Amino acid sequence: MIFLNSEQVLRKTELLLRKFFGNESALQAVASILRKYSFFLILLSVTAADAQSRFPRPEFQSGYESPETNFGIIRSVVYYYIDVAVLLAALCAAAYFVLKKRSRKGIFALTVLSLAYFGFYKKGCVCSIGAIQNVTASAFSGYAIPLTSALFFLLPLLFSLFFGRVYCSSVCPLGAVQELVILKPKRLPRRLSAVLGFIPHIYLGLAVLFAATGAGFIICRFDPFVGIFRLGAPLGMIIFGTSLLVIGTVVARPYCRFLCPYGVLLGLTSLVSKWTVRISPGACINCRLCENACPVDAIQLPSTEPVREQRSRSVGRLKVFLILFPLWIAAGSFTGWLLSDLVSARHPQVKLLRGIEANENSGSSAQSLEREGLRINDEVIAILNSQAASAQKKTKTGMILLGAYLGTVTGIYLIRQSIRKKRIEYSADPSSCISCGRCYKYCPKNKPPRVSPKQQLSQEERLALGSQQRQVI
Amino acid sequence: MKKQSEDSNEKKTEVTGNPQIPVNRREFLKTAGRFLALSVLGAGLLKFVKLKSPVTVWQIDPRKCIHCGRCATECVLNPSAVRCVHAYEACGYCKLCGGYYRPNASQLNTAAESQLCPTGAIKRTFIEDPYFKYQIDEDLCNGCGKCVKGCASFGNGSLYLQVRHHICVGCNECRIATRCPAQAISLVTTDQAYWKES
Repeated sequence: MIFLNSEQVLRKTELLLRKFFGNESALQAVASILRKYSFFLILLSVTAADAQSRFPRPEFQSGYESPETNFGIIRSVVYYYIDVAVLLAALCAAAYFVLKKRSRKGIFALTVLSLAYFGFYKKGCVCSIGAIQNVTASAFSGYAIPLTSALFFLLPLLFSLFFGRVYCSSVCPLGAVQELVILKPKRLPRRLSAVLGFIPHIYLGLAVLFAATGAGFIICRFDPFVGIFRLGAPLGMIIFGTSLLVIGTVVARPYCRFLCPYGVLLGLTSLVSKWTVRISPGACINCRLCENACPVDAIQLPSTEPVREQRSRSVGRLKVFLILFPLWIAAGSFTGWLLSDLVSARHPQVKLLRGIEANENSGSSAQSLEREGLRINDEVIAILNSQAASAQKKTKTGMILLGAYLGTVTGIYLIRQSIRKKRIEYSADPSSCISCGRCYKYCPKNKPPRVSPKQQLSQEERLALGSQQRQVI
Repeated sequence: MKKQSEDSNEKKTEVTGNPQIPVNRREFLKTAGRFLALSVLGAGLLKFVKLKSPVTVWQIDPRKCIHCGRCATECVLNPSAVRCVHAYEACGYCKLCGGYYRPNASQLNTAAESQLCPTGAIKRTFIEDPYFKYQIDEDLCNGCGKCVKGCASFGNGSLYLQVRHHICVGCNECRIATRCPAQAISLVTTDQAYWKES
């Protein structure tokens, strides 16, 4: 109540001054002095100021009526459901074009439409990749996930359980922008792509860790293409995005293959997918025409060559990898535990506390706004301390789990490498195939396209070339 | 155990079913995996995801805001989606407005050098002596909060900053929220949006 009194005193003083000084600039000079001293009073009396105005609303003689406060427009909930409906429709269309119609043109048209809607119209938000973090945050903290985010996370995964990665083919705006810049995709060395393919697991793990501990949404923070969709971003973001697009002209879809954390999940679910891309509509005749068709190196060659390696040797290697499996997990957990302090230092609460401590020790003006904004006192510092401590503890547990996860991924990868699968035809690896449909037109068994005689000739030439090659083998 | 049952399943189908399309082990595992994934997704959604609201929007709490000016510079949009809002109900219609004039203004007129607003977004109109109406042109406002600071320190605090939802692109992570020194920006459900008291 003392605050309210001081507030009233202040107001009376001002009114007195107003009467006393006819000249307003003199009043202003006094007011600035008054402001200096009254600052603390006002700061303390914020709540009281809500209830009682310093200058009461005047009684107008001229019958003036104050306009309504412009509270602005809130977008109707319907618009958010439209987004979900568009996503659903796009996924259905993508599944239709990829699996039923087998039409690269249809997929391409849908890609352009998705880029226009989810990319440039919606400015990249909501996206399924980012929705991983919303789902994680709501699973681990009190964060209330919007229904749209939950559906954006769920629908592409559901579709990939039945139709493979059709979301990647033509619905995802990040994939779409990279799809359009593919000029001359080159094959990457198998080892290099295996190593780079490990990055998405790290990224996914860190994103889940950061979202779960409340340290922020790193997928959104380091989204390379969102700056292009918004036509404006910090310099680093633009450099990152454009360099990925430049690389994307020769290494197809670099983000999708070597960064995208959602791709990890989609790759897993499409492993058990009911229908996936089949290069040939009928039985494969092993003509090799599709061999270099895939921009993302997802086409697996048939294993027709005799195995040169002795069986006992490969079984021995598999045994070694099976024994090493728990060791990978242990090594991963240990590394995670070692690195946890490094990661928890990025947590905003920890950073804030460190900044304030540094400020107190050195007397620098850094974090001064934070001190003002949070009205720092011993009580607040104590709360911040406990928050930072719990964040550090959570990060430590999370980093150990993340390390164990990465160890598991390594172990499974090595074991999979040493298990030989028999393949009799050219097939697309369901977990890495992004269903772009490029391989369809390479397959001679696919529905023959309506083409001009000139192109027909070249088609025949290509077929002839294929048979020649077969003869050579 | 599991492997055995799968094997027997396979053999049975081969004996009784169509020999052309036997249920092979890989297919069986795929179907099992698919149902496992479906149930994990379903159960996870039901158990962990708290579907409290259909939609949420970013909002500034004016009571926490310290008008530091970061809203103008940190938003992913340029100009920022944060604009100044005038709550006329709380305005004192002062002739000497702390939100309109610079503290050291030599003359109290509408000249640019006397105004606090860097973009001249506040329009001052005479109502009756000694009262003036202050309107904000939101198209000019860049959300720097200079007027809000002025009004809060020498006035009723009728001006405040708020995220405008027809401009805001609704980033998953609001960049201003991560930079806000007062932690005043949070997600609220649409029915709670825009604190109307102020």
